[in-house]
Amino acid sequence: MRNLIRYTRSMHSACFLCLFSFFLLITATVRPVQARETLVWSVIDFPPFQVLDGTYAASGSFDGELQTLTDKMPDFEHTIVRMSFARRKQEFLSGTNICTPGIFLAPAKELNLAISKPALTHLDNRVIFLKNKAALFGNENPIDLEALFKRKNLIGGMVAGRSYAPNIDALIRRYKDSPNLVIRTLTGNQQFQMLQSGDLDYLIMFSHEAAFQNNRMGLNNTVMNRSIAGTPPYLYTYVACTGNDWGRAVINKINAVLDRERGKDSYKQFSERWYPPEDRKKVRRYYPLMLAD
Amino acid sequence: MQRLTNLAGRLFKLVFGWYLVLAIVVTCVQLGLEYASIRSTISSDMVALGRSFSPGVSDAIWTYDRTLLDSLAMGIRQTAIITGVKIENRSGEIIASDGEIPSDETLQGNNWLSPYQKHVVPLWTKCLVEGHTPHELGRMVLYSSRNVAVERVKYSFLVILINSLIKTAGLWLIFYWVITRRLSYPLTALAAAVSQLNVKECENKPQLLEYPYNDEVGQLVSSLNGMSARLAASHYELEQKVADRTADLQDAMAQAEAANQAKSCFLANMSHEIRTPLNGVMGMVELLRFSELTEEQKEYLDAIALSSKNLLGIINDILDLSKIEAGKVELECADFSLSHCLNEAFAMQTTNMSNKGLSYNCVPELCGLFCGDQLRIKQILLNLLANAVKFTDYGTITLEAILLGYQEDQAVVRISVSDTGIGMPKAALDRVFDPFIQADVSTTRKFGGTGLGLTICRQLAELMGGRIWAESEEGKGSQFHLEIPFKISQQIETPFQQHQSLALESSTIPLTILLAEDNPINQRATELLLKKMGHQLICACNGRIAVDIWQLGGVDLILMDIQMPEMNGVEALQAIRAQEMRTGGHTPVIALTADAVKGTRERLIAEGFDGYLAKPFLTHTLAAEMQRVCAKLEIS
Repeated sequence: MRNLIRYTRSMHSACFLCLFSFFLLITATVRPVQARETLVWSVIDFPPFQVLDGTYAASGSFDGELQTLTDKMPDFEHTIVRMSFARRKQEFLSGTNICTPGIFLAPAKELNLAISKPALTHLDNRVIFLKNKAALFGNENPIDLEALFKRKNLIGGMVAGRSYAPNIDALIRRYKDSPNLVIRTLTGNQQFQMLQSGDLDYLIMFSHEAAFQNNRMGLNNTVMNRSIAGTPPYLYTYVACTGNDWGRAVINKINAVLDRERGKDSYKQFSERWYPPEDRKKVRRYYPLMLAD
Repeated sequence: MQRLTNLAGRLFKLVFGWYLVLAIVVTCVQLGLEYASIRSTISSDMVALGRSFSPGVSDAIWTYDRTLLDSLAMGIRQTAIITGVKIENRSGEIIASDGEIPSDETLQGNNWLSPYQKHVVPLWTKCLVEGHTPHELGRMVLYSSRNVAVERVKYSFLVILINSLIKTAGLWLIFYWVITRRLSYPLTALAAAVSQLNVKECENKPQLLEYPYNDEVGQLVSSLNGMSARLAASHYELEQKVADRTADLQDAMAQAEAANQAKSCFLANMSHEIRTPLNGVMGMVELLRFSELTEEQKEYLDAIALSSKNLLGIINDILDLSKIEAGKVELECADFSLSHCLNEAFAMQTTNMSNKGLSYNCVPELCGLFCGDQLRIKQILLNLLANAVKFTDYGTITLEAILLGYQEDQAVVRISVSDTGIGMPKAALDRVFDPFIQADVSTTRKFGGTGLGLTICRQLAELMGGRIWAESEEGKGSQFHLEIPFKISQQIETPFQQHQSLALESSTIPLTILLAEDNPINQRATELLLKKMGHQLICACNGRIAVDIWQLGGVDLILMDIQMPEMNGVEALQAIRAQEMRTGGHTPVIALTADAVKGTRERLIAEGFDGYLAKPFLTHTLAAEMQRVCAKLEIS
């Protein structure tokens, strides 16, 4: 029975892949003379960067950015396709002509994608913990993550395969077998609930990510965060397309849009979305650096 | 005839009902056990399933992965035995479920007939690090409906049923085949062989039945072979014994026949040898009555006549009794007038009655012809009447005959002879019909007689299918009753038959009679009697002379003695009849013989004689026979 379920699921995935490939092939090759080129956007439910479901749908920074791009690139027929991280990665690796509105630099390089100019500015990943457990963490700020990892009485939660920051990723790789680290492919929501239930003592995530989950769960700001020592205070996300000629051509057009839009206030506020007020200030402070980069 | 049935079929019918009941009971028990086993297996499977899924479910709860929980619940539900699954968090809230979740009321009781089986799997967190106390995450509840077990039992039932049917059918076919082959056929062959068993043929070469197996049938065959051999031996032995006994019996029969022949010869000879001189005595006595005698001489003559008569009666009785006891009495069945027969018998005793001064009365109120042996009836009546006369000194002797009843051609007649004589006591009455028995010893001394008369009467009556009995009162008289069944003749009584005897008595035509008799005394006595009767007589001392005399002619009647020297009576008759065949005419010949044995009369009549007289004969007997023969010739 389990095999059957697996087989059914794999069959569903295979069917989906075939249909999707067929769709892309059709849209890419068979085009009416006057029809626009279809640009497939791979979107991932990654609150609060991209919120696809629920009350807060389309309230993420990527959502605003994607909306701007689609609006400003009318010569494309924009198609938004929902994917998981893994699916998006697989599509990129297989060379399917798709684009994604937001990706960090490290995975983009890893996948050899055609990336745009920095599209959005974000703050660094933090150590998130409940306020009622603040005593466990002392007053250290920024926190020495390695020291934290070594504290066996504290259980930390991280998302497997997620690129946090070079120093963090290195530490995670080093301590991945540590029993006090729960490194799983979990959503932010799951992690946050585990944190709330006490199963995890701390998380590594963005502060606005925690703020979003806190808000979504209707909690009254139960968490607090601290910076991780050695982590840059900000980072950018990029628009990326498949690393081929098509991708690079699309990226060029996207860069043109970004050049026009990034300086606009209406666009700037996408980077600030869902950050706590104190962090919004930081975003505003770092955003001009992106434009100058 | 009772219909043959097949042994295998009968065994099948006999066993099948019980087998069916047993099979149903066993199947029900088996199904019950199967159901319980399946429930137990399902329970075990649920435990195993819970154990398998609990880590994943725990992890999904722990990580708040609702999607995975739903998938897991659905996955668990896909298991054939699970009809419902629910996953609750630690606060009892259902966070995932699939399938049919029964209410708590439905789940009351957990016996083997309850509609649901439930298995609760508590879910706990993993112990990630030392010092962390695992806590309960919730619980997973698995449900399995009774229908799952029932469905499996249905399947099992079908399997069992098909299995049983195939096995049973196979078993019965094999059973039928084996019984038929190994039991019915051998037994049928055995029965056929036994029914065709010819013991006689088996004497020399026993017919051994063959059966190759040493089972019960084989033992039966062996026993039958043994029995057949013993039967053949017994049969042979029996045959030998029968042959021996037959030979013995044949010898005994030959001896008995020889003895009987000797007895018959003895009786015939005795009869002849006694009758011949007695004939002379009685003839001479009769002749003496025609001479001048003093009263004293007459008295002596009467004594001689009476003694002779008694002696003749004794001889006749002994002969009759010996013939009856030897079964040699053959009754005739000829039409006759019973009333005339009675009258005739009564008439023969009227002289004696008159001599004793008795009054008599004969009332034969019968008419028509009956079929029977009138001579034997007359013999019985003469005996009864003689006794009545003998034992009655005064009063009346009455002969009555009445028809008791008739039906179709059968009639029963009762003839009663009553007297007013001395009678007899009751004790004597019971023995009066026994041989050599009279009322008492004084009776014998006073009245004489052998005591055989009534015995002969009873035996003759019984031979005729009737009976005889007596009623008597001492000093007042006796009544003897004879009841005889007769066949009613279809012929009508003719006047001749009514008056024949009367005509014979009245016929006294003078004749020229040739008497062939070798005994000179008898020749002389007969000669004198016939001359007294007015006939002319020519005598011859043997058959040849008689034939010679007859050839001279002028002979009206021949009285031919049978046993004569040189040529006996039969040879002489044959010579006469042979000549008559050539010349024509017919001379009546009456045989005279002292051989009074039964059958002599018939034999002589068959030889060609016209009449027959047994010696000694009285004057009136001779006259009657002569008249009868002559009358017969006149009529023809």
